[in-house]
Amino acid sequence: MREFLRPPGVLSEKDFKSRCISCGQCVGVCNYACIAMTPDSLFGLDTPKVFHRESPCFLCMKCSEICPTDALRDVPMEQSGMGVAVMDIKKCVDYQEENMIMCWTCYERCPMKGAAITLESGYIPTITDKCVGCGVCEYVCPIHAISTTPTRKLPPAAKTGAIPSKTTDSTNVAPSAISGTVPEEGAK
Amino acid sequence: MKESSIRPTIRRSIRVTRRAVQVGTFLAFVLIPLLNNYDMRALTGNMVAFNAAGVPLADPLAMLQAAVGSFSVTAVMITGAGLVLLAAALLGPAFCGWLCPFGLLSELVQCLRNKKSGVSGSAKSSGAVFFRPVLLKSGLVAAGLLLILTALPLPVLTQLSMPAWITRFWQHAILLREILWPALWLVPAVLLAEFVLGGRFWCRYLCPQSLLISLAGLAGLALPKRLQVRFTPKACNCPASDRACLAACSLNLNPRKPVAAQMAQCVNCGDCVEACKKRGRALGFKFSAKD
Repeated sequence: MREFLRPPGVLSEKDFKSRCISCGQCVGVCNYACIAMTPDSLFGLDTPKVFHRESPCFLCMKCSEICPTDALRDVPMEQSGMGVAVMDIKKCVDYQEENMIMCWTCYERCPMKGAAITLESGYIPTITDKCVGCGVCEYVCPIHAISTTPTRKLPPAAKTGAIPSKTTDSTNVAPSAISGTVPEEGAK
Repeated sequence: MKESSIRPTIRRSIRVTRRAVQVGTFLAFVLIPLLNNYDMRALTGNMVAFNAAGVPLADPLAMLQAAVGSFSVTAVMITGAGLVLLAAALLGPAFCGWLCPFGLLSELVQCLRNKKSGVSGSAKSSGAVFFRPVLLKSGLVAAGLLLILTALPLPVLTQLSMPAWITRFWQHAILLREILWPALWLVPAVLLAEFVLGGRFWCRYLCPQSLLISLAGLAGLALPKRLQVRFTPKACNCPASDRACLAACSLNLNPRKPVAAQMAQCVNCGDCVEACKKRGRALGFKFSAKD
């Protein structure tokens, strides 16, 4: 199965599935045609998924606004809770000082530019704990240094703190860059 | 004779009007995803839930399932289901007779069946069956809700919604550019079964989505105004054995026996009114309380 995110405003998977009635209004309102509908199981209806590697979510929030049953809750984009992006700073060219490259593609395209991705020391793109996991940075990254983990797949330990990352021990530059955190479930 | 001078023109057009509305509804749910595709997004959704420029409309059963599955309701759920149920209370289950795209296909299958067998309408089983259809549907809905409540918190009954499959098919084809295969075999399979068994059994006995709207229609009979087919015994000049109106009814109801249980099932399609047009004109639509 292809890796996918849920559209913005989703809480737990169980909660989502009990409400989603497959009306497809989220697909209809999406300006970016980034929502696909595929069945979850034999009895399951088609539910909306964002295959962010093919077409990421730009957080216009129209789907969560229109969802009649609040399977996607009507929240501001800061509380989308789709997942979290993790940058592999071994790969990211901005971290390799010998390259003398300032790519910044992820920073420039981030729908929450300046909040979810900031420029540490003025030039190193860093994913902060404000990241909601829309998948845009992963989609635009020219060297695939970013991967987005959906909220429903986060390991239990990650629900309160940092995401365990393979790159944690690799560098001493900008520690916050290597650990995204789950957005607070603020819209309770 | 003021009435009869106005009515014939109205009556003549009932069947044509209804077919136009049915086909129009069918096409509307092809057009909506097409418009969405061209960035016109004021109308979205399918026959499970629909949004007309901010006004929500929804299948009451889907909303009930979501409420039972998640133990919560939203204002949109209440408004969407409420508007549909209100319409059903005022107009009876007219959705089934006038808007449902599966109803249209089911009627066409029934016409085909009648042509093949040479009988105009399966007139033998009359309005003797009253609450049995509602009972079967209730059982199905209750079982579904119990399943949702205990084991499987998903709106499973929506998988049995034929209009949802038909309208979801077009959504998938146009917006997602993929074929919704279950719709392609499930809907024809149910139509084939209806052709073999006759009597529009899916609509009458099984369709879970029609339960809440027919119950709202039943409750609506207590309202001061409610659209219904009214029978005027004095005007009826057919012999008791002649069953033109009965044969016209695709749901095997007896228009000459207007008891509440039967009126609740009547989808106000007007076929019996049409059949009576050339006879005594004893049947007609009325938007009023009982006398």
